[in-house]
Amino acid sequence: MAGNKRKINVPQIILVAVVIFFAVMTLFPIYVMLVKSLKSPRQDVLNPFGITFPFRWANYSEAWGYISGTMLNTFIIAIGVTLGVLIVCGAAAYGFSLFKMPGKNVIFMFFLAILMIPGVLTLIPQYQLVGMDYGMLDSFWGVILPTVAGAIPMGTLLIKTFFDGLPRDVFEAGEMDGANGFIMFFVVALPLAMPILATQGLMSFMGAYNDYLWPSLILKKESLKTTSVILKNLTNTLFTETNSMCVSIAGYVLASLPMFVIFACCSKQFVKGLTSGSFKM
Amino acid sequence: MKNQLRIIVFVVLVCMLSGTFFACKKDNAEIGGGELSLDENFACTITVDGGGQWANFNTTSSMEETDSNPYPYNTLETLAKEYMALHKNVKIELLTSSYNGARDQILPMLSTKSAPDILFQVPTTLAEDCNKKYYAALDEYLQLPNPYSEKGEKGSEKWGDIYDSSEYKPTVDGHYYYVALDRSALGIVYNKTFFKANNIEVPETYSEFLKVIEDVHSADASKTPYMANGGNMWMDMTIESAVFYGMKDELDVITADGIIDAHEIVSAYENRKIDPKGERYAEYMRLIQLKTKYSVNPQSTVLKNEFMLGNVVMGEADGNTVSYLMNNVEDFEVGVFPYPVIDKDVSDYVVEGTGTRRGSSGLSTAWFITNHAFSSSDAEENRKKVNACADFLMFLTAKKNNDRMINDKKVSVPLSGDGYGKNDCLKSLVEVYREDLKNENMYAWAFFSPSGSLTKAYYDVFYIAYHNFVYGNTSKADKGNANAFAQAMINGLDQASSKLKKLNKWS
Amino acid sequence: MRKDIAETSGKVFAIKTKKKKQLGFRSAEGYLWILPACVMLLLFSYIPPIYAIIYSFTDWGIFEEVSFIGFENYVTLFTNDSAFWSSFGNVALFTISGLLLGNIAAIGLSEMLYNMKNEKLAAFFRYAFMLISIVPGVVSILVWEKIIFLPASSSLQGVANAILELFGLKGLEWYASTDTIKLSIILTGFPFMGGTSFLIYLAGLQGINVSVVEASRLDGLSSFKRIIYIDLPLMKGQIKYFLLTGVIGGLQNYNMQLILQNGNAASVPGYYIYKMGIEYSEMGYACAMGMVMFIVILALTLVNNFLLKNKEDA
Repeated sequence: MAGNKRKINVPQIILVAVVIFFAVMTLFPIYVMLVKSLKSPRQDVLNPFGITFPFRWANYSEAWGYISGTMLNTFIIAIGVTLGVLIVCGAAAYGFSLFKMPGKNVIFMFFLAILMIPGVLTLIPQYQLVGMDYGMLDSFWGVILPTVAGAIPMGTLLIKTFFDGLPRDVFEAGEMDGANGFIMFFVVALPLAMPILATQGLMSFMGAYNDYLWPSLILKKESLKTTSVILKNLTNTLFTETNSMCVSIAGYVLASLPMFVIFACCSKQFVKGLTSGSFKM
Repeated sequence: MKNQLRIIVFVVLVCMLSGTFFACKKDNAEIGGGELSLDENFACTITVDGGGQWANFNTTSSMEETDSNPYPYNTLETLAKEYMALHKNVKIELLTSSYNGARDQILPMLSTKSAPDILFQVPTTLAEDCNKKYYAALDEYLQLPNPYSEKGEKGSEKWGDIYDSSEYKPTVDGHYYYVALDRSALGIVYNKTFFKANNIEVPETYSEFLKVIEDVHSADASKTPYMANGGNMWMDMTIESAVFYGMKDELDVITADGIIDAHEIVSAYENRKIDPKGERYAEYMRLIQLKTKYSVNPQSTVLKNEFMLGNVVMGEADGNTVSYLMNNVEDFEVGVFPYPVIDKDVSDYVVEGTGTRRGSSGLSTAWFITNHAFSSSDAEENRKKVNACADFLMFLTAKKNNDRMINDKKVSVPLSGDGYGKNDCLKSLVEVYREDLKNENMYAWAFFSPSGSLTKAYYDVFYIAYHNFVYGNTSKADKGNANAFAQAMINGLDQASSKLKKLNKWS
Repeated sequence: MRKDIAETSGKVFAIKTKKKKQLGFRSAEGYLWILPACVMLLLFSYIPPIYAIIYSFTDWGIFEEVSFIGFENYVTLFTNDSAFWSSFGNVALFTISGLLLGNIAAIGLSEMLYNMKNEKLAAFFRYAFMLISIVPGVVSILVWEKIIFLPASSSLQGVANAILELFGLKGLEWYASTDTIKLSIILTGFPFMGGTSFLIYLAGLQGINVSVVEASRLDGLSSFKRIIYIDLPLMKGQIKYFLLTGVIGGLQNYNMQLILQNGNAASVPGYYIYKMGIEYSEMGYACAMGMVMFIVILALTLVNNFLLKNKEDA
């Protein structure tokens, strides 16, 4: 048996090769982004996609000048949205999945029905509602709360699907031990759901981090603007004036640096055999 | 099952009830009557968007000119400070970046009266907007003297004098909703070195222009002799106007002002005087096909880049492009000449001795006073705020301020015409425009342009049909298909005229 | 062979039947758990669509006053608007192809990563494939429009055309021509593997009891067979999720049409609604179109659910 570890595992090598092939294709746009972020306008015209020397590091300092004030705002909003979505959707999914409630399916259908109306039509009424009637213009709540509400149907569905797929043995064991629903949530459900919560959290964070339309409508004060709004306007302005978007691409690279850290944290949640521990008979 | 049905019905009823409650809310903001001049005792804050059609007037991040900051600028901010020094009761807030006329952001703001008080937009959707009290009407202000213009200057007696009456037309409902802050400079950039090397002379008439295209092609078939700029159809507007100028007396009947406006177009179309399948449009199609004989599709290639690389010899260009190319190309000499006059030799429909004014398509950078300025419930307060906005606009369009504001950005031409762009690159265009303005036989660019004067929907239909016809965006078989182009125009005109008639209650 | 599958399936079946039992906790507590979500939806999400329904019976957007015009919008929609109905054909094409390509790629990738024995490599690749989400829309569209699908008529050669020529085929116009724009839109995003979709499938795979995997290996099942007969059925929940959200989202999607210059050539209902509402200011009419779309999507979703439920009970 000890000899097994020494054998060269051919299927695994093919697997890794195939994955590398797809990874290169998928990551190609990142390569383009990095290459373009170091070009001067003139290099951009003559050689739009190749690596050109000398690198124009000034793109990064200029881009930082534009977005430095906005990074904090973007973070606050993104973290607020992520926490909101995880808490609200996690609780709702737990309720839908593990409790017997009359009319549960109807209520859930109503959750989903909201997704079926094209978003562009609800844009103006929602803006009137949040901005005028609730008076949340120029406030982070005006961005966070509607975004969380918008993410509820899909988020609840995702986490509920996951809960539905978990074997009931664990919960039944807890029930027999006399735990109530509340304790079960924190002791049993949450730890089991870490991978899906990490995924949902990541999706919500990314969505809120890059969200453009809603923050640009609600946050008008200069001190409150978010990174994506500034970068989008910058792209247009710079392209008109210099025929090149390289500085704004450098801005996008800078803005996405925190994501590298967050992705690493999220990736850690995926460990094989997560549920194996609870089934040791 | 029955229980579930009951729940559904109950919820739906609740929704509809609450929905009607919300929908019944109405708020009407009126602008009261009264004085139209600035009230020195009325304190207010005016937010200004700062966008422009060719480049924005917001303050740039640094005043140092580099290759990624070619037009350092802070003049609008300086002017705002000077204005605030003159009038201590007004505070001007200039946004750090403009909305660039993005409709999907501006429409929600207009619907909720939360747009900047003074906003830049391209007026293509004005026909659809004018019934909704989104903007303050400026008619009465245009009749007042501009207090910031010096004696003898245009505008000192009547603000509206800064605009030539045939370039500044009211909207379909007869009101003026915006003021223009600059003029575009339009012309054709050309590779001077190539011309000199091949003994080609700058063309003045359309016939000469077509011959130059052939000369360039025979001198070097690998180069594109002429290319349009993106999807813009500027030169084609001059051709359309030239072909229809002969019908001026028949068309310009409702308000004889030298421009065929929307009402006149719709009524002429209904009376079959304008027929996309008729002779004049056939002539128009023939003429636009001639210039694109060796062209590449301008929607999949970028003119600025191709010209810089030397692949294109002549290209249609706006002031921004002209400035960019003339100041950045290092490998060869770049020049610019105004659009050639459509001459009698090339088309029988042209009226001898006339032509569209060259060098500039007229006014651009339209700034509106939005309903945020008159959003309070007190009609008098609204009037005073609109007065303040109009006053600031008068300040910005007075010659010495306007010259500074526009010339410092170096991309377009000020209203007075006294500005030649970065390193005087626009000089030849501006001078030709001034000459043509004095010439009675040269008329406004948009003399006859249904695509620009009717609805946005018609513009879109025309745009697509035009590009299909000229470049064959659909299967190559449709390229040059005059019938398809004409039919698309007819469908579009039917819809546009019915919509405009409904909107404006024309007969 | 069949005996192995049957044995392992038997074990899976045993687990599956246990899954069906619900817990008998007090239902009042259940309502408490879903209360925050319901409140937020009531406050922020359900009123705007009600507006949209009501506005569909008005001429909102044309004049300043909004007046009821009854079913006029719907009549025009059903009798006079062929562009809207023909755009449904396009959106069906894009949605179905998107669902197939996207899900096969995501499942494939999640399986490949799940089966990777070297945990460090697997973690690295998980990280790498997630990274694609940081690329902003401007850059992706740049890559696809200007590098990969550069039309044959440009002065430079695009990647896709270069590959075609390797096989002796002629280069295409891709986005620039109406003939090939639909194909180009379907292929945009190849290999469809980035982002977070594969993570959801991976999370589902994590939920599979490792002892089942062990059992299948001991029974002599090859990995491939295991995927089809064991993993897929256990990932049914995730597949249902993607089908459901894919149908709802795909039918409304119009991102590509908005960005491309030639967008109108491959028009979809969402794009048409956007143009009508935002650019041509006919919001009442756009709301009527939105209502029709809502009914279509609702009907398809119910059918979807019904079919999937039947399959499970079988």
